[in-house]
Amino acid sequence: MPEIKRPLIVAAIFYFFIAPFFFHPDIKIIYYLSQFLSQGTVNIYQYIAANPDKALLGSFVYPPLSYFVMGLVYPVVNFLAGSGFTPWLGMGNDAVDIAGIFRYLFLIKTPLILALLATGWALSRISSRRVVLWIWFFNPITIYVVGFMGQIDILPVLLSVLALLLAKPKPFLAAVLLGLGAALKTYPLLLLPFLALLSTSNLKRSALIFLAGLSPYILLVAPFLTTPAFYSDTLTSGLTQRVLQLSLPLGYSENLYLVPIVLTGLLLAAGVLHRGQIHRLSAYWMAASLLPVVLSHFHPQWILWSMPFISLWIASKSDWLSLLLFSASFLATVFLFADKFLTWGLISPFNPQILFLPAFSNPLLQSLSHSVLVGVGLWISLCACFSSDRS
Amino acid sequence: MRVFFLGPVIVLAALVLASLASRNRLDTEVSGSSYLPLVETRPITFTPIHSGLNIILLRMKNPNLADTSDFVFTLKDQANQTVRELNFSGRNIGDPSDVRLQFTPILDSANQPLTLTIISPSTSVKIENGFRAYYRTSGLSLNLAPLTRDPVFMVVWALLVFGLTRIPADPKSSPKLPLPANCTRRR
Repeated sequence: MPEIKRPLIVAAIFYFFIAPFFFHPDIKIIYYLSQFLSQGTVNIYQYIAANPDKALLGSFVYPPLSYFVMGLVYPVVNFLAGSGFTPWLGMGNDAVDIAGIFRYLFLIKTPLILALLATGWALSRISSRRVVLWIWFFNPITIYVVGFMGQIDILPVLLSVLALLLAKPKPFLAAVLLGLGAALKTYPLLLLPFLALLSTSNLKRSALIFLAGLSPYILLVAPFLTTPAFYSDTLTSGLTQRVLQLSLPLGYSENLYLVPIVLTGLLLAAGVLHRGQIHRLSAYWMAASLLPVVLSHFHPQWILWSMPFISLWIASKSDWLSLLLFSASFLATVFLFADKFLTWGLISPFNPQILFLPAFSNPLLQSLSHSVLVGVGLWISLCACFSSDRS
Repeated sequence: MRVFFLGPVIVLAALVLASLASRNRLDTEVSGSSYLPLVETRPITFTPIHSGLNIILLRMKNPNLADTSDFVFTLKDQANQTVRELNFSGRNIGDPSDVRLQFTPILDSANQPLTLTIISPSTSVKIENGFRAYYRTSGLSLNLAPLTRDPVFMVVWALLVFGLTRIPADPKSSPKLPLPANCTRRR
């Protein structure tokens, strides 16, 4: 324990230090919509569809557990933040020129920073290498997504790392954690088949583990399946739509979709070559959570899904060049999105007038850096999945 | 211990970048309370504090983005002479949106009363009864004003971070194991 104490404390100091000063509107929108739980609204999708005037900043695009978790956090944050907090949540995306902005940013990010620290603790129980914590906490991607943006993706990431920790001794519990993670953000469902295949060689047991993972997700989502807005708000936004955009035309209106091809290949490799080899789970989870993201026009926070597994891989192989190229190409790609909230907007609490500046945009440079990101992603995924040792 | 300085370095770099990248600063702010039809609004007169006034920010509302009328924005001085004039369209107005009217800096705007008017045949666009005016600084300067707006929080936050930094330095939190009797600590 003393070995992990220092990186944990240093990370806590670092993230609590920077949290008040960097802003991204996504987390504000999530808190704004989650406040309706305190007012008795259980079905946020139906409520927003019936009251479009309440959707000042957009609809709730995440699965229902995100709403319930953030809805339970909201009263605590609201109490600590003071009377101006809720009106601020309802303001526009550029509402940084207000007295309480640093207080609000600090408080809304605090639960996410605690989840980040808990993820670090779980990683330290998986790997004996202390460097994994330094990589996890202090790589540019974690800093950008959690410290700067304050994205709730850290919550399912925490559950996925806990699932990895429990995968060998308690695969059913690990599957349940993935199902709960999927009820926060759907991507952990991608990890579930690999858990089922790699944790046992027994077909029936694999099927049961898979069902154990699906059950909490289905239970939490089922009450909303009769709400049309649930489909339009959650299923038509995000990765589910974007993974089908990278395709090769076959002619006659038919296309080959590359991401499903890659995922099918990974699934077969896990099921045929590495069946029951649980020590490879982290590698497959890295590939399954990374490749669909880098092979699409991703949101920056999606890269966080694979970062714990990448941290484990880099720590075991000391492949610093890959980490450097990966981080640099990620930042270059993200900074060149035509979205000023990913660049100038982050530092707008220091000078709100900075939002007058246009976003950086250079499709050629962005495409090049995104291509490098894909190259590194493929390299580390292939190395991790098909390396022969057990480290 | 050096990693402790990473946070302050990042924050300081962001502060410098934010200050230098945009030389616009807030001059005058009149908070709005409601949206009014354009025909009901009156010319607004205000006196800028700084020279170099170059942006007026208005919050306007174009329901369903339907109105595409033309709008004329003018700034007039005390002698009723037009100092700046800009034309824009209803297509530039959201539901609602901040409409940024940027013009060549008025070099001698300090302490000079200016009157702001919007003229348009529009019947559906509404305008908030408030505005913001910005000036362009003449030189490079750090914008430290935002850091002073919530002193209570800044003190609590500083104490929290400082308290965290004391944990690793506290010898009680990482007790040394007793050495065997025949061993000595290496210097």
